Amino acid sequence: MVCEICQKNQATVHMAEFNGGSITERHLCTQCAKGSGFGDAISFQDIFQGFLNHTGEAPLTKQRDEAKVDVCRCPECGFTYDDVRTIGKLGCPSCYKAFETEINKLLKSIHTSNLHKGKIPVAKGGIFSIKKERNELKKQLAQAVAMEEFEDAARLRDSIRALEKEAGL
Amino acid sequence: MTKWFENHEVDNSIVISSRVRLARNLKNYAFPHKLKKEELDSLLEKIEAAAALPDDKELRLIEVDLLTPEQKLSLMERHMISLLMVEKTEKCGVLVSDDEKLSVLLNEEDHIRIQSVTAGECIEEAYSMAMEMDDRLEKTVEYAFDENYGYLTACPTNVGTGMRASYMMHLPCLEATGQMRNVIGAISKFGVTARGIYGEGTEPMGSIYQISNQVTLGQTEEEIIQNLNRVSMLVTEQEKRMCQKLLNESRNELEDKIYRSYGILTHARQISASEAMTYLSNLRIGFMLGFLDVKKPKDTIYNIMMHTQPGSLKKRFGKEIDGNKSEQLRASYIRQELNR
Repeated sequence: MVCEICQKNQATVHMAEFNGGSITERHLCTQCAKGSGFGDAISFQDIFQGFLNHTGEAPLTKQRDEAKVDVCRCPECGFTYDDVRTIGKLGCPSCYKAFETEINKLLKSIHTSNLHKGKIPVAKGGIFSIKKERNELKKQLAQAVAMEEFEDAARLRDSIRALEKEAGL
Repeated sequence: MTKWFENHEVDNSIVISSRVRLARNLKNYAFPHKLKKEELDSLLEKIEAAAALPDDKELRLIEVDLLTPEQKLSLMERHMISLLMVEKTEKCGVLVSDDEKLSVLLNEEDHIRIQSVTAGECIEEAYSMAMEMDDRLEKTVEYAFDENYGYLTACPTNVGTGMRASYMMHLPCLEATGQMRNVIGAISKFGVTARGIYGEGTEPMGSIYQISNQVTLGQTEEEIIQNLNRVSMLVTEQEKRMCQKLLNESRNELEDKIYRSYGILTHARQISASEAMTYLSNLRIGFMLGFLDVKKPKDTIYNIMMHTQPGSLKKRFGKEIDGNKSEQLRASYIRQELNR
C-alpha cells in the first residue's frame, strides 16, 4: 500500500484517527508521518542526534572545539565528526579511535560509563582478555606509585612486562 | 515445526515473550550505511558461511531486499525484521531457524544482529541461544571490538555489550487505569524504556509494550538482565494490582467490556487493525482471568493479533487490498479463527 500523502513511498505507519465518534484509518510512510506531526513516537536515534548536536558546552568553547574536531577525519573511512553528528552514526569501527575525545564524552552522557565490562571475544588467543588484565594492572601500578608503595609498584611493573612479553604486545 | 508464537505460553501470562538482541560488526569493514557494494557482497558471504549450522538445525536465508513490500511488512509484524530493514533498498537479509526462535539480521544498522525470542518469561533461554550463535560466528569472523568500548556498533547507543534484552508485556489494566505514563517514567529511572509493540518509533497497540534496557555499556550482560528482571517483576506486580482494583471496583463493567469485544469480533463484518487489536487484547485478558466462558481459539490470541496487521493480512490474501476490503477480510479472518 502506498503512502496516501506522497503516493510514492511504501506506507509503513498505520493508524486510526478518531474524529468525533468515527474512526478513519490512515496509511503513511515514515517521512510523511513525521511531517504531518504524527511522529510523536520520537525514536532514540532522533534523541541521540540531538545529543550529538548539543554537547552542553558554552557556545564559545563549543565553536572552538567544533572547529578543531571538524578538521579531523577518520583515516579509514574519511568521516568527520560533523558527518557523525549529521547522520547520527559512526562511519566505521576506526571512528571510535579517531574521535576518541568526543566519543568518550558522548558515551558518558548516554551510558554514564565509557568502559566495557561485559563479554570479550575469545578471538586471537584471548588477546582482548589479556589487554584488559594489563590495563587493570596499569591502573593498580599508578595507584601504588601515588601511594609511594614502591615494592608493590615494582611487583606490578614486572607482572605487566611478563604479560606483555607473553602476549607479544 | 511449532513457531514460538504458536506456543500457548504466549497467552498465559502478562509477559508474552522474552527477547535478546546482540549487535555485532566485522573488523575492517565500514558500518552498513557506508559500505560499498563489493564490500557488502564479501561481507555477507563471510557471515552466511560462519552462521552455517549442522543440517538438522540449519538456518534458512531470506533475502529481504528481494521481497515484496507486503512480505517485508509481514516479517516485521512477526518481529523477525525491523522497520529499518523494511525500508532498506540495499542487499540485506535474515537467517532464521525453523521455529523462528533464532534469527540473524544481515546488514541492518549493524553488520550482524543476532536475535532470539522465547514464548513467555524465559529470557535465560533466549540469552543462551543468542550467546551460542555469537560464539559460533566469532570462530570464523573477526569482530570489531575495543578493550575499552567493547563491541563496536554503528550507533554509540548500542556499543559495549551490544545487547538489548526485552520483555513483551500485556498491560491492559495499567493502561485502563491511566497508569502507563507513571510506569514509563518510573522504569526510566532504572535505565529501562517502554516502547510500542514493534519497538523504536512505533505506537503501542493492543496494550502491548516492549520493555528493554537503555544502557549497553558499563554493565555486564548478566547485570543488564538482572536489572530488567527486577523491573519487569515490579511492572507485573503493578499490572496485577490494577487488575485487582478493576475487579473490585468495576467487575461488571470489565466483564461486559470483555464479552462485548467477543461479540463484536465473532460477528463484525468489517474491522480496522487498531479496533481488532483492542478487542483481541480484551479477549486475551478475558481468557487469562477465566472470565470468558467460550470456546478458546485453536491458534494463540497473540498470533491472531499479528495476523490482523496490514502486511500479514495482505500476504495471507495475496492481493492488493485497500481500505474497506482489508477491513472486511480482517473481520472474516477473525470470525473464522474464533469459531473454529
